[in-house]
Amino acid sequence: MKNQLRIIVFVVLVCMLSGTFFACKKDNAEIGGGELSLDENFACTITVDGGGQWANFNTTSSMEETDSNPYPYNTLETLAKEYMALHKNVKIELLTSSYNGARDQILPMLSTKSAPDILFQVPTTLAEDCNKKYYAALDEYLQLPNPYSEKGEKGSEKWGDIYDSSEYKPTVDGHYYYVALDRSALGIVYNKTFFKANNIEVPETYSEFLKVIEDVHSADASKTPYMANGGNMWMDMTIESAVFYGMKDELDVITADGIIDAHEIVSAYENRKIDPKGERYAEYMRLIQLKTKYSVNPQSTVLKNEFMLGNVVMGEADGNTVSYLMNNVEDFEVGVFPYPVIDKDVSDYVVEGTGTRRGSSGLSTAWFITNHAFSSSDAEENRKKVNACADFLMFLTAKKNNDRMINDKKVSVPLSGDGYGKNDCLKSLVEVYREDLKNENMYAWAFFSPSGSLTKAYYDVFYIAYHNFVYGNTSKADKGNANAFAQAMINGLDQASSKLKKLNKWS
Amino acid sequence: MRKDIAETSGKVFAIKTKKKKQLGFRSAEGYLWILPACVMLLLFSYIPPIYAIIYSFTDWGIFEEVSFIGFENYVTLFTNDSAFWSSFGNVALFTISGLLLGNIAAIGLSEMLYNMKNEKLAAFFRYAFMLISIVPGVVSILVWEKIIFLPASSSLQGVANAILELFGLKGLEWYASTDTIKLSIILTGFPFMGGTSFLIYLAGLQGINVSVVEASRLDGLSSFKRIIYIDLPLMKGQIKYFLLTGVIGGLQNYNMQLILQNGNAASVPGYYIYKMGIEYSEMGYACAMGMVMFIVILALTLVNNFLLKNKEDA
Repeated sequence: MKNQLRIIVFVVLVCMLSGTFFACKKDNAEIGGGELSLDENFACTITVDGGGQWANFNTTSSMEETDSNPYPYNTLETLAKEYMALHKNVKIELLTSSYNGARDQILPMLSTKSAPDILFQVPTTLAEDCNKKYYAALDEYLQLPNPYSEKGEKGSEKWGDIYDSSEYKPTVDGHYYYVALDRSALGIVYNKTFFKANNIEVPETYSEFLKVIEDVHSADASKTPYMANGGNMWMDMTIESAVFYGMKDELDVITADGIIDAHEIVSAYENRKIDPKGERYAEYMRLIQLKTKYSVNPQSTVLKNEFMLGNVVMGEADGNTVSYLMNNVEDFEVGVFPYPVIDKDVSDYVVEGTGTRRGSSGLSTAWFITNHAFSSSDAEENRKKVNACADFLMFLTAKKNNDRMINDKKVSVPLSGDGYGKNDCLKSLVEVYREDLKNENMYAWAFFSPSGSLTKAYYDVFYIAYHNFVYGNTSKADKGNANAFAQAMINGLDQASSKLKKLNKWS
Repeated sequence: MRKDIAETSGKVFAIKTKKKKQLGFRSAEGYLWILPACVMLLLFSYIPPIYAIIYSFTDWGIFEEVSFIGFENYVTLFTNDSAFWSSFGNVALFTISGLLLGNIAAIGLSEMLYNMKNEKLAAFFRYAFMLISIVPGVVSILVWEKIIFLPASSSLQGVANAILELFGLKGLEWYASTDTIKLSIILTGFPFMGGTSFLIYLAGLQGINVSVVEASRLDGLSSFKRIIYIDLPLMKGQIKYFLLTGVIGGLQNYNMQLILQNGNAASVPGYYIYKMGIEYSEMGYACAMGMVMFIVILALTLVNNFLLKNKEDA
């Protein structure tokens, strides 16, 4: 009897172990067809990541403004409550903190369908993600009227109208997978008091900007004329776009839409139209080095700190940094101007009279509906859940809600453009962007940006190689070494091309 | 007489056969009971590395189609991936400094406790230093990042910068700067005395024959010389153990890089493999790197073992 009991226990143990290892993998159903509007009889819970490109929208630990909590915020939570009051069947759960688009955390969640239903991510990896069924396509929803937009407002007839067509493009497979919740504000903060004292004028072109750098250095060699912001390479992306804009007709050939997307970059690279060891990239490397002649390594010290102390006269800044510096520096006056236009005087590769749109890089804070929202085996249920998620996104992008959500955070610009940050510090940037958007000769900020369009791996390779080339960051030997920079790009492009061609089945 | 022998032999034979049958059954039963543990060992310890070897010859990207690509991953690794090899420089630096600082501190602490006259006080300090090991490593690293090594650019002042400023020195960015992150990683854990390693050294010291120690005192040997010429040679076993495990663990470790915000600036092979597999979905390539790491660690361990064994024999 004892022996029989032992055998039974043993068999049960083995079965349990086997069950955990050989558990059936559910093949989840797709998103079913049918109505695209919210079903008021369908109860569901929507988890929202809450992240943002310039600052997160999760509720802060306290609503009291302090040095360590400069932007107390709970507007998204308030909007969620208002939405739930309108739709009693939907429960919105906002995470206490965002994943901040951290790829190593997000990718395993997306692979296992366990990410938040609505997730913030920087969409630069869409070319490698779009075929993996991580996200719901939003094409059909964008054609619907936004029920939360007031009559006559953008979006009231067609949700997608809230975006300018030159800013909002489908990904390489032709689908839209995210909605953007705000626009960036990018510019250069500067010490206005120093400029006035030394009769220095705000530059508008890159040639003028380089002259200002020399003027600042001549006026006071102890100060750093210009400093980038951490590891960011925003101005260099405008330089890259400017240098390659002259090849627009050769490069923008697969989907001729004013942006050289991942497919076009890969195709151009394979056909030797883009060559990191070629003349255009040599020119790009020359131009990016010119502005850092007197710069300190932005990864060795912090721009905000150095600028506030008066050690740095001009600094690359996003809305967050602009807002902070313009509202907190007391020892001198602070101003902001948009990135200078890369002009013909500084490079023969520039097309006369053209330039990247200034003041903003365009749309930002991309929110996706992830495969967790359609992870059920019931296709109809999946459709209803995705409808609910899309409906909540429509709610957040309707003008009155979006203005509140973004303006209360004070570091970026709402989709309507009716918001200028804390104490209107971003106003000049928003206004110049508005003007440039109407100008056909001004092209998208990331017109040509392999690091921003290919794969995460390429971005990382480029990032390290760039900082070594400009600052000798992790390899002093590579500072100024164009060949090493070019070779790193080639290695990265080889890998990225091979991967994207395989994933997207490009020939 | 013959009948008795026959009867006795028969009984013995019967007993032996019965015992054999009982033993046979018990052996089978024993194997059955250890089978679940063996299955788990196979599934979690042996099969993954075997799969890793196989996948290292493919372009596996977790949830993508798998294609056999031969030695392509290895060719790329040896000819086109300077980031992997440069990370070896970092891991060598961290491993060597960790071994030196960690073992010197542990030996120093064990000597202090061994020579402490007040036994109750010695017992108290033993517990006090051991308690540190119950703090999870992640918590410890976060304390260093958020409190001790808070950068100078932060709105709050960190402990390390406060100490520097007491001496009139400028505060540093510590982990936040590429110039100081490696130094910060090396210094993390100062004074390197917590944990259980000192207990093993203490046990080693307690294993030294008391007469040897007394003889050294009678000969007028100073404490320092006694440590160098008597204690350390007699603790070779413990030192060897920590050198071997320290090298293996140090080369594989990437906790700091994973937890710190600026971890990429001081990348090590383990972290690079993690990024390649998880962040870039290049699992096949990550497996190839893992195989290379395995061979490197195995080679170093064998060399280590050989050198230490030779010294022991000598």
